[in-house]
Amino acid sequence: MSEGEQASAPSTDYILVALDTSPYSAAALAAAAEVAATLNLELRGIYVEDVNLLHLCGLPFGLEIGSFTANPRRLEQARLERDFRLQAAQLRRTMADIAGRQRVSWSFKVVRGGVTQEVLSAGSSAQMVSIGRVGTTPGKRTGSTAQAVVRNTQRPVIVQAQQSLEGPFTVVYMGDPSSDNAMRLAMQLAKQRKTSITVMTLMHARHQVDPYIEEMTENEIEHKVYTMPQIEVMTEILYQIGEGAIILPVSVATWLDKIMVTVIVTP
Amino acid sequence: MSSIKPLPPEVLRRRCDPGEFTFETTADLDGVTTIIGQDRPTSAIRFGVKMRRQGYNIYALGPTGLGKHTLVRRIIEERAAQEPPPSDWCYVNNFDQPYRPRILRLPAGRGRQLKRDMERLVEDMQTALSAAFESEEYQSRRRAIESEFQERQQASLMELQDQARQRNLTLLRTPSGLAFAPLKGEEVLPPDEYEKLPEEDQKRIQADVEVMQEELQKVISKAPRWERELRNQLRGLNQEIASVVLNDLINELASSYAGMDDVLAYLQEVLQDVQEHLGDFMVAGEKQRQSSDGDNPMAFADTVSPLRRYQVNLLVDSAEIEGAPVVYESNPTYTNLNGRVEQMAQMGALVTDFTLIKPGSLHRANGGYLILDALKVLSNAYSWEGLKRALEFGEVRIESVLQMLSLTSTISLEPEPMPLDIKVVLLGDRLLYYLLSQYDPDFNELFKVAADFADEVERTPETHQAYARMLASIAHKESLRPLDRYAVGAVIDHAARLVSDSERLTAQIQAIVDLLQEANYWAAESSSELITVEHVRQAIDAQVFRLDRVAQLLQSEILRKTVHIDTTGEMIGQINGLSVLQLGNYSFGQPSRITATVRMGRGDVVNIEREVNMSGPIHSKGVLILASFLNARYAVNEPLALSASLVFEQSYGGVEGDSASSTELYVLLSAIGRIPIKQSLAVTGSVDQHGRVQAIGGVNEKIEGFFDLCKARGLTGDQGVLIPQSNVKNLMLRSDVVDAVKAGQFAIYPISHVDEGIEVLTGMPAGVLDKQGKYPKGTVNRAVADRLAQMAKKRRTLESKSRGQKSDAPESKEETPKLE
Repeated sequence: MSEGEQASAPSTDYILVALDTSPYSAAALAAAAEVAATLNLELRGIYVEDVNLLHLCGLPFGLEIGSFTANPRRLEQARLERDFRLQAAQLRRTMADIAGRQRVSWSFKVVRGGVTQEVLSAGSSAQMVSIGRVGTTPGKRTGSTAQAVVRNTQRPVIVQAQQSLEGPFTVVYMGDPSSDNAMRLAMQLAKQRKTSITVMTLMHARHQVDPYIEEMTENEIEHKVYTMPQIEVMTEILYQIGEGAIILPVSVATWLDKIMVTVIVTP
Repeated sequence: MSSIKPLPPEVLRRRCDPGEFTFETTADLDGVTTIIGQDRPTSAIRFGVKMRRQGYNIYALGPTGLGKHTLVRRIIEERAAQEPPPSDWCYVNNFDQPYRPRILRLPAGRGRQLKRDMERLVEDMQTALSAAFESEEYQSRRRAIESEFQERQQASLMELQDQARQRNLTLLRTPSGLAFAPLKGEEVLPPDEYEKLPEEDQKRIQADVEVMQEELQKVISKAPRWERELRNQLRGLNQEIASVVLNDLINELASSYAGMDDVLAYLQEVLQDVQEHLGDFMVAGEKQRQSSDGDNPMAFADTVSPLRRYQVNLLVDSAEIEGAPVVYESNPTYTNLNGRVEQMAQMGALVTDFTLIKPGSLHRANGGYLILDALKVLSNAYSWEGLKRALEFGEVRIESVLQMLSLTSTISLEPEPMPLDIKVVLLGDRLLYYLLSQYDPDFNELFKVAADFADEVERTPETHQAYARMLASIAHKESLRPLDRYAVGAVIDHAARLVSDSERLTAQIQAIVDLLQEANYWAAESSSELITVEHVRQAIDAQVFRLDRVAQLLQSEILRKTVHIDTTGEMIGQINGLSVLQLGNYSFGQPSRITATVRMGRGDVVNIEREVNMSGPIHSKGVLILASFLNARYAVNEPLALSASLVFEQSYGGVEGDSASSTELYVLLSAIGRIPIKQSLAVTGSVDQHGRVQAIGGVNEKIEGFFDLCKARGLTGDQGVLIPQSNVKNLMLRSDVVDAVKAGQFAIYPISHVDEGIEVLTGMPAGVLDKQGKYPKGTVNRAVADRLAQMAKKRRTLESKSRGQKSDAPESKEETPKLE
């Protein structure tokens, strides 16, 4: 066990980060470590040895096509398991390094199973889940695991783009309970990180924003509120945003796929 | 008594009369640098300097100390001041062939400006390009291109994913690639369940997977082409954005170099190269930020910025030069002349580029004049070859000696050669000039102007005045005390003595400078404001004292009678000769005892020195001449029946020169005629076949050498020296000798024929042939002739006796005696 690494304890004061070797995952880890430091949470990493790949090894046509060379190679279980071990060891080192720099306590766990199920299971009691935007599903802007976790978790999920998690925060307020969660999380993060908030809402929900405006004013959080005439205008603008992070209520989580920056989805 | 009178004291040393001078001290003169008596080299140098044709370089020849450098420099500087300043020369990167840097020629002062302008241009480009690449327009266009690429990739994979779904397959990412797998619900079909499927289903699944794998391979193999397209599109975008910025910057710069086609072409090349290497500007900007943050762990490893290639290496900066350059290279090594390419260590290896090209003196003197010492050029390896090549081809090519000899093949630079327009002046001695002229065929082609410096100048009232001005200029230049006019006279007298000629003065300025500096020292020692005669004398005496240890040693050996030299009395067959020994720069006279013996023989004169190879060829020639004289005078009617031997007694080092040939003749006559010679006299002078006495060298030293010996033993009033009449003009004797002559204690006899000399030496008339062809009784010649006749008679008697005893013997083939 490295310095700062904790034996996993039944606590809910932690943020779970789902790890693989993609650059998005590294960004998710960095963002999770920052949030953990900001909100004083423990950082827990999980690496899932994908059982689907192990199944594929047992099939007679289990070939992998090289992602650069396009050459077919036989997928062998022994080699796959060795690759899993190497990746896990590398991720553990990366985690120790990043957590050490943020001075947060951390733990790292390797499990074998379906990736989505394992992440959901491990994140069920977490304060927050952080996941890379694209993981192992090829060809998608948002990976299947990220989408499934967003859909199914009861916790806020950071879906990390390649850049680090930083302000300003743009909150989408639709008037439902998950929008309230989004507003509260935005204010919490903005206050800690001393950054500004932009609230985007629709006509019908505008009046519900007022209490939050008062609260933001009280807390000296710089803020702007934009009321959109139509939902299409709102999405058009959201898809053009190139900096900061967007906090979405889960009710509009489907927009996730076309947003370029990091997104936090609140349940 | 002899009719030859000793020389009067006034001809023994021609003194410069201080009354000739109108000044009191040299401080009254203007002190302008004056060089006298060098009209020939002055005219040659002026011609060479103005002659702007290839090969008309100048060789100033003459021994050191004549003021060659001063004169050459003065004439050249006068000329150079009227000429236009040279061009500036810069080396810049050659973007097509970086190993062959380009040379640019700019008007004086513009090179410095170009260097500054290029530094500023690079800074401006960095700033402007950073701003351009951070602009909203660029960023959004870049994002659009990148997302188009990503979308294209994603769309292909999504399409595959959809196709796979239709076949109930899924696309998975493995640690190093992609794979298709059959699905059961949302999970991959486990192997054991697959095994349970009917064979038909298994085959179908396998076939589907294989089809999809082929499709996937097609998609993946397209990726490199898409990436290439992406790169091309990004490059196109970068260049479009950059060219807006760069065109503006370069055009603005180009406007200030209008008419300089080379510079304008270079700026266009810079523009093109910057567009091709935009990445370097971004990397350089990043490094700059890192190093200013102090957070660049690799800073030590990689310190050479790629932007270095836009620098300008200002090789020759003529901004502050007025007129043409005049350069004296005191250390003309190959690289100091031709320039060099330096190297620097980078990551443990030596690397170089055009910024490390350093100029040589040929570069610095281009458009003007380069002065070099010939001996130094020749004694530095390859300097002479390099200089000749530069002059021959009219260009300076910078290459290392190893490159020149083809001994190295490591990567180095071959900078474009610099066109050369230069006048080289070599300073050297005469021997070197004649050797080069004889043995180096290129030399006469390249150094067509010889400036031959005179060693001495005529001594006239005018040159006295000029010499005084020169002394004033030396005193001024060397910050010495002024000389009073008597001291000036003394220095001029010494200048005549240095060339052993009362009618000439030395042109060896350096010897005079040395004398003045030493006299100045003695003036300082005696707290005098002026250099006076006394100080000049002290300086001369001190110079002699420092050097005359060997002379004193030899004299003391004579005084101790280790070496026998008689200075009183008379002796048959013995005479005092005079020789000059030179040790370094100091020469002194030395008496030598020459003896002769005669015996009956066949007319040969044996030169004992020659028998033992201690006689030089000129000395041997002198002995043969005097033998010839004897034959001509005394053996016209019958052969000489004597053998004579001549020897330099107690001589252990060899004899050279013919200055003792008259002496040897006198001693021979004494030996033959049994006439005693006065040992109080010493003799010098060569003789011809008719008995005329001819001039010799070192007359002053010879006289002084014998005088010093006589003086040490006590002057008797009979002592003196016989010198050739033709050497009288060379007399510049020491004052003490002149004083002794004046007091009648010593005498110098000018001799023009041996008959005069023998009279002085023997006190007996030489004798002239009468009408009967006989010499009068009581003369030297009669005594000699009688003795020879006597010996001949005796020999004939002996020979006839011998023939009587050996009547059967064959007749000797050596009947007629002959001289060697």
